[in-house]
Amino acid sequence: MKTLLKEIISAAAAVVLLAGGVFALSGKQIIKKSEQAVRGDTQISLVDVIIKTRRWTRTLRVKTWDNRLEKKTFVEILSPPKDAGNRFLMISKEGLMWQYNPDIGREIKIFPSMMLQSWMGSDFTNDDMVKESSMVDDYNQTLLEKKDVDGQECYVVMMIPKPEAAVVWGKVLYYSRVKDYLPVKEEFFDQHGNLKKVLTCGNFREMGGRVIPTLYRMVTIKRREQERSRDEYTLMEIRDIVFNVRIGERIFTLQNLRRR
Amino acid sequence: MAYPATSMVEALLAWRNVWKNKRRTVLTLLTIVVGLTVIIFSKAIHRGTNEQMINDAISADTGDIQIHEKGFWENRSIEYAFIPTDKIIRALESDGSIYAFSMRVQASGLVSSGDTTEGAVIEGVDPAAEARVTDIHRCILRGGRYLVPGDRISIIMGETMAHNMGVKVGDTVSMLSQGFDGSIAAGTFTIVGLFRSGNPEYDRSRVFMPLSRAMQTFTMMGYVNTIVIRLEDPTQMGRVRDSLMKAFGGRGSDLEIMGWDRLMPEIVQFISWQDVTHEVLYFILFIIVAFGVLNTIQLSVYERTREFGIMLAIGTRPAQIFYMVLAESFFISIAGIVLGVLAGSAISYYFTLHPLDYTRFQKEIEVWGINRTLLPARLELVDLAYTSIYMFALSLIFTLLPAFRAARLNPVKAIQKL
Repeated sequence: MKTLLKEIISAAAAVVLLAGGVFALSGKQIIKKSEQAVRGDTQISLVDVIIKTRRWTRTLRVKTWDNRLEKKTFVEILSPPKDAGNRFLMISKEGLMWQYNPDIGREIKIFPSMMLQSWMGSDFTNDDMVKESSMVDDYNQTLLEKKDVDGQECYVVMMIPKPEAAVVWGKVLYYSRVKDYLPVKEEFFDQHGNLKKVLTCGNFREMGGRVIPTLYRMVTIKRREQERSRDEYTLMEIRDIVFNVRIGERIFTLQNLRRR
Repeated sequence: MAYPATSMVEALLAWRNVWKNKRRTVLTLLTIVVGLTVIIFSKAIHRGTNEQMINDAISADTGDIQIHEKGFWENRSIEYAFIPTDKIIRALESDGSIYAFSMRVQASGLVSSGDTTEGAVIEGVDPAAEARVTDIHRCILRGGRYLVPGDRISIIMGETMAHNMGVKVGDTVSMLSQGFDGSIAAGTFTIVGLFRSGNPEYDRSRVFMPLSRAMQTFTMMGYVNTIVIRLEDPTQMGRVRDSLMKAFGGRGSDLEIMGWDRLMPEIVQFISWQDVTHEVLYFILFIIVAFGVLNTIQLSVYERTREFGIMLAIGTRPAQIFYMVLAESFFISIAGIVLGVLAGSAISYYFTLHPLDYTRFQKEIEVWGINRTLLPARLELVDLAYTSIYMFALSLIFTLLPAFRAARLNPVKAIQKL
């Protein structure tokens, strides 16, 4: 009985794979190419984060150092003055994250379980900021279809997290342009299939020697009916970026985190 | 009962019958007394436990009524805040049913010492006002103190949390959270006291700091998250809540006004579940008593078959026999109820003065958020009245059948019986 079930499943899987084969690329390849198009092995970027809630709009200027190969990230808030000097260090392989705060003059260890909480009250999570989880490694990707999104032909890739991955989402739909694999939209669903967040990517232009989306808009879908009408979102606008430069090891150290 | 004089005769006969066979009477009486005592006592314990549980939960943290901005209770996020306008404050101050109220700022954040970080619920409270509303100031462990007006960088922390972090009174901890305006809220604080509330969740995650400091640290700009209200008389909750709702929580208002029953639905659920199980228990007890009465009356009628036969033979009407048996049961029931009420009340009262001690089960009942292990019985007149009336009705109803049988006896056959 068990073997029969296995046979049926593998047969079904084969059919799905064959159907996928109609497209030249697998879902995994598309995501990989898309990630490579947007990110380098390393990158240093200057980003404006604009958080709009029903009460206030805040603009944070942030500088990030990112070593994708070693999975280390360093983030520093440059302005406004109230938050300036807060720094974040993430070393994924060791599962460690610290936040340094100048008011208390020391760093606080942030646990992996806190990675999925909101970053600075924005619609992004800590994880979104430091990209601990990997679109390529933490999900099983399936290419669903090609679809027009805002006049651009896109691959639609369904991503289901692997059981062991530390990901909150039940499903992610990734829309990537056919012509250059750049992401156009990402839709995040919970375990019950409800849409929770939508990330849209825009302002495609050349920066750091390649064309990338430079404006990301994250919107959290409200649960309560009466809050739906609220215009709340977070924008992340890349002001400047350089790819694949060597970043000195001393950037990703506690000394750098604590420096005055 | 056409002739009142005759009915007096039946009553007199019944009265004599009651005393004639004392063993029989005592048996019926005991059934009623014991049943009634058990029911009254268990009702008193049940009511006492429920009230204690609600009262504990109210005085631990929740208060009788809370005011928030709509959405706060669901999301528990600092961004749901409102300005406590003069109009609201005046209304609360001038309401005679309100004993005290306290404003709070509530944020979730990280508390850290050395290499350890704990997630915490940080509450900014006005020490003086809060002490009138909740009991946390009574739960401070020896060697520490509660917050006092004028404190700036003092906090108190749950015992479990301090233990997990390895900190003690006098130590300094850092706090990292997010302000009302989205900015980073951080600060360094000194622990002046630890508390053991008995509620494992509070002891593991609550931190209290002075409201004035919290307003500043979290950039509240005059907003607060919660107003907690304590009433003079907890039973007035519904009325006060509705009047506040009318004044501030109407259509178009951004405020939500919630009574403890909505703030703590798990307690309401627990109590209604307990109520059902207790109702089943009472039902069973009532039925046992009722059948006990039926049994003894039936027996007493059976023993007197010859006697009834003679009575019928000398011209007593069946209706008179019927009423006589019923009257016997009536006398016994009244006596049984009086004795049962006395015994039940006495036992209940004893346990009001000397509450049940659950200290041995402290760990188990803490799960329910009950932090006191002494549960006094609580006897209400309404419980006495209902129980007595039910008991009286039941014992009369269950006498109907034997009384009817006695009345229907065939005199000739009955006399032949020994």
